[in-house]
Amino acid sequence: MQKDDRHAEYIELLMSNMNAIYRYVVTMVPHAEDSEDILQETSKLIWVKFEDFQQGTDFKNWALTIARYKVLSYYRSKQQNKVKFSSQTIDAISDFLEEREEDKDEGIKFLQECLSRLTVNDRKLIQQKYNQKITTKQLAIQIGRPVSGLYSTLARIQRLLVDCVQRSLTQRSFD
Amino acid sequence: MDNFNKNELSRLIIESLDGDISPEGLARMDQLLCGNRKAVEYYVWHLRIYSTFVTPGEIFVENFNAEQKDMFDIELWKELAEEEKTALPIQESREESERELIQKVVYRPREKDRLNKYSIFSFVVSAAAVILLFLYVKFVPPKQYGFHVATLSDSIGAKWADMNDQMKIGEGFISSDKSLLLRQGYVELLFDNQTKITLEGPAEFQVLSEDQIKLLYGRLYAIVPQRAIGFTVNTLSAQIIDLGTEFGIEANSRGDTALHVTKGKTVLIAGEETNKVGMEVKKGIAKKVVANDQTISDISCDEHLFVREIDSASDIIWRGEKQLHLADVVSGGTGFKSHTKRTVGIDVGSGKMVNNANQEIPGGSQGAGYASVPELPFVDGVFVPDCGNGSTKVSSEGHTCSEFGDTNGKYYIPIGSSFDVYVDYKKSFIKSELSLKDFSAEESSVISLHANAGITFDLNAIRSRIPARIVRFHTAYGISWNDEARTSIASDFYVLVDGQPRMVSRDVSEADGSKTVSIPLQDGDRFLTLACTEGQSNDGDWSLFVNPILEIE
Repeated sequence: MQKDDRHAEYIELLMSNMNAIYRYVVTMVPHAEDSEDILQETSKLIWVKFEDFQQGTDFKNWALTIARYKVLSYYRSKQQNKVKFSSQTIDAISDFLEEREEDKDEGIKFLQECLSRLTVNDRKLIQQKYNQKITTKQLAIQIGRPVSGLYSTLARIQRLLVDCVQRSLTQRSFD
Repeated sequence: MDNFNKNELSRLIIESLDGDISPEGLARMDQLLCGNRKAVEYYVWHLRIYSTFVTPGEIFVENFNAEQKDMFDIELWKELAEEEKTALPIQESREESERELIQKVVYRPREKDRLNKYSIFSFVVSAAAVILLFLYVKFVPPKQYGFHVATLSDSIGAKWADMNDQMKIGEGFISSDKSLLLRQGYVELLFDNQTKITLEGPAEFQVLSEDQIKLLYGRLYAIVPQRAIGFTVNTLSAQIIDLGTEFGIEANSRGDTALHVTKGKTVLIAGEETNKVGMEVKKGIAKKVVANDQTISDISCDEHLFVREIDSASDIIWRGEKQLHLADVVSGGTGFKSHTKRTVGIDVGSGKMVNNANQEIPGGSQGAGYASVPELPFVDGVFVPDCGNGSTKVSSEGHTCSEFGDTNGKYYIPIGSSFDVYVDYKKSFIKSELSLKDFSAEESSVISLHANAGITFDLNAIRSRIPARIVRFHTAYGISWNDEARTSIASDFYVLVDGQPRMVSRDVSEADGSKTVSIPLQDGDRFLTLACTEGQSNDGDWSLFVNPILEIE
């Protein structure tokens, strides 16, 4: 295959699976900046290894294998990492991620509905934090409130959303 | 035991994502997750929802405007106050006073140096660059709103909605999610990173940051320099990331998006939340995204759909046309109309525009040297070719030509662009139709002269207004059909570049029919001169340059 075609194929495959790779990385390393760095390194390594990828095979699984390698390198690294999970926790998260992937995709479809069930104020906070991609401290400065209370509020909202999505998924399985 | 405090776990996750978790908080989070399957399940869902929120286009969170965002109602303040009472103390990772945090200040967050867009354009053609750009756009927080990011650099006929006064050239744009509605006309925005965006009204858009604009509907054309690779245009159904290119985007009110790439390449991102598609779109390719079902299809790339360049000083609205018609220029046009026929023209003696360009001057008039034509920015000047005293000046820079021969030094009609002329016949004027074999007046443009006359065009003036290279000049030429059929009716035709003859065709008569000439032009060529002289005698020498065209690319 011509180099240009291979390049184009790589772009298409990577772009269409980037969200899945990111989801995996940020779940294993719940730190916005570090997970972005790992994602960047994973993407580069995928390109380096792309010659080894066999067309027609499962790109997503292959790419997630590389991401897993990068995540484990992060935890093994001697530098000061922002996230320190025990190996038991890492294994437990990793095992759970491999289970029932289709359920998670299904569950996210309920998220829009769950969002609509929040109060207007709760949705405003979510919009300000995530649309602007700012930290809780930055949001606290914007709205002029102490950061500690804002953490509690955002945690409450997040809990409502997780509960709603899980409940919707459970109900769907009974229907 | 699978019981755990969900609020506590969510809070720790949020602190960790923000980079604000203490070592004790990290240890606590690990403790909650270790050996607790329900906590792990909850943790994974929390992160799943988080990743959905931070991925653009994955989920719609209604866009509260600035006023709504500020006006949280009293209930929220009460809730926040209650939650503050029971909130866990934050272990500060840096020494910051809580008092400072309460003050509402506008600040610009620290730049994310590790993912600096400008450092990556050295990889411009590599996959690494594409990845980094994609990541930068998706995951690096945009700058805060409220900063100057662009300037209105030009406008033609622009009328804005919701404004008492028109926006003036030189006014700045502040980054904001506020929509701007251009009801009609054309505007050019120059971003601080030198990206140029031309918008054609009606159009509604938001200037989000120094490297992002959102087009809600209308047409825009982007010219992105190398240093600004990664410039992004968002629409309701797609995201287009520049990779060093020029492209046009049209968005309709249904949210459909059409992308036409005219130079370089872009990345187009569209699709459903769990099935996003990203593809490279190169020069000459166009794609359409249908908002309703997020499908992407191939469409024909229309290189002339978008306004690429405007110049209010010369009223130019350029849609990438590849030909500039000099006949249109002579009659006061911008050069982009192919069949202009106006009666205005240029008096050869004074250089002034006259209304009746097609009326003969009985007995002719003596030339007065090289005359500039200030009313036409693309015309350098006009002159009467006469080398009786050595040479004739043919440009404002002093270029001369000694090829013209010794003429009577007179001109008989202004230089015009019409096939109709009024000939002096026994003290009255009769209409005469000029023509050239193989060319119909209805379908052709013409620069009509009568010996002796010459006109010089300033190619640099054209280059300064249209960002294109002038590569060739071609024209047909000849003596107009004349019912008197005198053999003395013949002219000498000349095409000069910077005073140097590139074509000399002597004694061209009606019997010779139409001739053609094609002359390549270089970037350094400045003045293009067309001239005709009387040949053997000055008698009925109606000399035509038909379809005189500059090819640009």
